[in-house]
Amino acid sequence: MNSENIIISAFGFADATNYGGSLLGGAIKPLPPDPFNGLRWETFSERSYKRYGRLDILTSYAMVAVELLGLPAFEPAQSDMALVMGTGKGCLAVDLDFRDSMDQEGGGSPLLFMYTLHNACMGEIAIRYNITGPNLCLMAGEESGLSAIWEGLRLIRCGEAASCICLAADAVGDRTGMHKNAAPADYADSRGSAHCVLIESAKHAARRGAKPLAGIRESKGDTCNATQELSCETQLSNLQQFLSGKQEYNSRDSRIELRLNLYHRSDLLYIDRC
Amino acid sequence: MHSELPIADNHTKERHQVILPEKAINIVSMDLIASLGLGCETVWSSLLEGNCGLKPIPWMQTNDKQDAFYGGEIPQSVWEELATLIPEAGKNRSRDLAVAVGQSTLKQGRAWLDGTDPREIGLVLSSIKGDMNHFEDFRQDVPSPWHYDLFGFANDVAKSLGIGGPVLGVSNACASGLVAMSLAARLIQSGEARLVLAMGVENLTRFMIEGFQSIRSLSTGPCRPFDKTRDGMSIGSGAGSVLLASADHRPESALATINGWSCTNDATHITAPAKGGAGLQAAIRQALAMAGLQPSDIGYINAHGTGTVFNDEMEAQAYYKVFGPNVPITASLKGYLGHTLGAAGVIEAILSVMVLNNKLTPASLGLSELGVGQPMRIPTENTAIPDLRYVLSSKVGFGGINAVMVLGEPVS
Repeated sequence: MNSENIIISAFGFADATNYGGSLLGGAIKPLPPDPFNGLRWETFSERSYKRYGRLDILTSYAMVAVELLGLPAFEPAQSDMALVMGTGKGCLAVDLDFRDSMDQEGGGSPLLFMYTLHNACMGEIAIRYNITGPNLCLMAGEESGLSAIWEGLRLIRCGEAASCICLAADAVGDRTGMHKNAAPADYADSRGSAHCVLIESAKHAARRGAKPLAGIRESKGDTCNATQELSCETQLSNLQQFLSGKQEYNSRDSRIELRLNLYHRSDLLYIDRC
Repeated sequence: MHSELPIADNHTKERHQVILPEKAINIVSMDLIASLGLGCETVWSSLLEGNCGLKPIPWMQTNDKQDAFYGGEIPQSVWEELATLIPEAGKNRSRDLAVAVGQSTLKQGRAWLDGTDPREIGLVLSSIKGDMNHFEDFRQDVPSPWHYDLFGFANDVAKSLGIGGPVLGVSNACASGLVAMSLAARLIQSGEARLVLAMGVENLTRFMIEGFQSIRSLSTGPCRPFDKTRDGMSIGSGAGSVLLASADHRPESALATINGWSCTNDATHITAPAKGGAGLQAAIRQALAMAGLQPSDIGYINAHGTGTVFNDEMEAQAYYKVFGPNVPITASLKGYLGHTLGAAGVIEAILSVMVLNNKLTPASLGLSELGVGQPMRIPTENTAIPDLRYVLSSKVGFGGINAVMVLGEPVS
């Protein structure tokens, strides 16, 4: 394991109300009314993407967030860039749709089935940006997003990647609204969201002339303190606000603390503004 | 308005860190359940006897096909045995499989567990979709779909096994098992866990059968990997688990070492493998580099070998391009057990350890006439490999993913 300084060099996100990221110069903008219909590609990017209309809702959110990182379609392929996605429920909406299609004449829909595989989302991202490095889809409940960042750190520190897109995406879809009572509060009122950051070693960022937005420090194995728990969604939302330079959050502080609670242990990420 | 980042510097690729043999992650105990029975020795003996676990299964019928598919179902006798081994068995079959292999693996690894705080033991559970038995029950609206996800399933299994460290679910299509094992190895390397149970679990459901039939991936009979007449895969149920420990923690001799691994994406197509297998080639080369080995050091390849026309051809090309005309003995285990999907990586890694320790490979069942474009050394009968020291296992999946792992003899 190397101990190089790891930095965040880009971010992107879209949720039920806002979107923003490095592609927009770090700006955060309100999403047009009606998030589902408002999730049109043209809202987010001037760069064409013909496959967008074929994607399921999870992949749509994820693709928008990654597009807002501002990465080009790489040529040659990025074999040293990793892609890690954390998702709590994956593509639950498309799971339900596929299950319904099973009872129709001719059997299940092949297009729907493809997107019931959680990692299909990463395959689409890999194709669009030509990323051929390590790719992992993790599921860690509400801690999935932060787990993705942690796995990205491991991949870089172990020398398996030079940079990593760490993505958190969930999209339950409107069909699951009927089960609101059983749903975690974070999911009940939103059809989906995706947040991502590009992390890399400071040395790697300097070599390619990328400007660091923030530095990452980590602390592992603290005892879990349930009173300080914030859901992963909220933490990532705070992180995006922090990276965008918005002053509403932590105005006097130059650091944000993200807490990963996996079982009885609480690991901490400290993100320092550069 | 758009401020694109400059193209990332692709010429400064960090070299994979080479893992010295004495620092390799150890596999200290393992167990599995599959269509050929319960336990490593039972399944291994059955493979050597040439038994096939694939049978026509009446309920494996989809809306557009009236004949039953062949599948590798867990025999009723095994379910009955599980009921005597684990508490609360019979309520959920995916959970029964997971708890049974986990319990047995931890029991076998007790020398490593002695004195270890449960918070230092992690669980990484791989599956394509998690507990789909639970999801299918949701048709009656009970229970809710919120509880079927892979992480909830993994947490439930961890609690049943008394594991208190990091718990993660991994869902990377058919490569999930090897990806989970490599993630488990990184958790140990990074000091976040002292021991990690890497587990793969898959129980056949109508959801998965309908899914693979919808893309016309299923064979009309038992699958025939690398054969000229192959026409698709057979799906199987199964579970496997391996307990991993760092090289510094060696109260007893380990079963095998994990010397290197890699994961790549083809970035070409969502369901079709890349022509020529460039992504798989890259993964093999990177795993060998991590292990500090040359292609000639590999004595056996545990191929993905699903029996689909395109997968097997792609694999043959990739192996030929990396290993040349001296490609090692290569076998697929799918002809015995079927494709156990998200569990395949772990189950087949376990059986690769059996190959390594016995210096013997079972025949690659289902092969009559080689039907790929490159020469391969596929055993049609059980074959001794006396000088075997390293095995390479590869798994390929939808989403363009390729995962490779190099396993070696334990360091004494």
